[in-house]
Amino acid sequence: MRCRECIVFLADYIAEELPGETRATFEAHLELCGNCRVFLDQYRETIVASRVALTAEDAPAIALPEDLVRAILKALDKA
Amino acid sequence: MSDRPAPPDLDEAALARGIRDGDPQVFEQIVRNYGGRLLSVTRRILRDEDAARDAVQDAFISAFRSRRQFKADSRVSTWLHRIAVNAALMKLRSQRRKPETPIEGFLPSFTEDGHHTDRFVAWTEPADVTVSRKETAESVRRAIDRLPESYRTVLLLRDIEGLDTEETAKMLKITPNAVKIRLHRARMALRSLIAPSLQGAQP
Repeated sequence: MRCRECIVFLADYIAEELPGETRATFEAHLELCGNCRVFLDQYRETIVASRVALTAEDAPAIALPEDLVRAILKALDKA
Repeated sequence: MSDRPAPPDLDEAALARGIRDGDPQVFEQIVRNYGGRLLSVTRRILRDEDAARDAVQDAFISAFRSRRQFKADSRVSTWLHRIAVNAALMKLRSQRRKPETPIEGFLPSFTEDGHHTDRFVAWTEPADVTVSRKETAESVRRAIDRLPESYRTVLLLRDIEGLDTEETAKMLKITPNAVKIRLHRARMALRSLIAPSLQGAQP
């Protein structure tokens, strides 16, 4: 397996959905290729980064503004 | 009147009954209890405050109209979350589309014999630590915004909103395989877009 084939399996690998034989070949490549190991690590970290970046804003916004609550309740009244 | 009146919390079973019966008090409670979280969801998808607020309102109207389909064995929060995602996606489809940058430029390239062209340098600290800094979080958000829309929505639905491949495919009206391919490419593109910010971080 080359790097080009290796990256195709990243998503399935981290989801633990890679069939046994492919998984073994994939891991054998990783064993030999430091560059793909860094890439895999950063692929995983990218998911973490997007989660942290996009959900950090949630905390202060957890309550719906009162004017919007009222608008929604009014709309529900007519629905 | 206080800013955040907290109606007494009903348990899930009573909530489910109230929803199916269209009980106005129960609907007021779910608007107050879940509305804020839903607004966060529609904001992420739409990136426009007015559109996000409209989508939350659409979501509650749609929840009210489909209240009889609410199944007692599903969680109210999950039910509302899916409805809000859907409302935001509908709104997104109705908006004027901005021209998309092709994603190919952000994907890894290979030499003729199949090796990576680039040499990747390990990031100095875990991403959750780096991104806990405001400026890095902001640059990651900007990078996500740079993804072509059809990739950005898949990444949001799968990696942020936690929908599975099948649900995402249904919501976006594409095949499960297209979801998998777009998600993988979106993550790889995002990796290369955020690499400068995550690399450059001083621990």
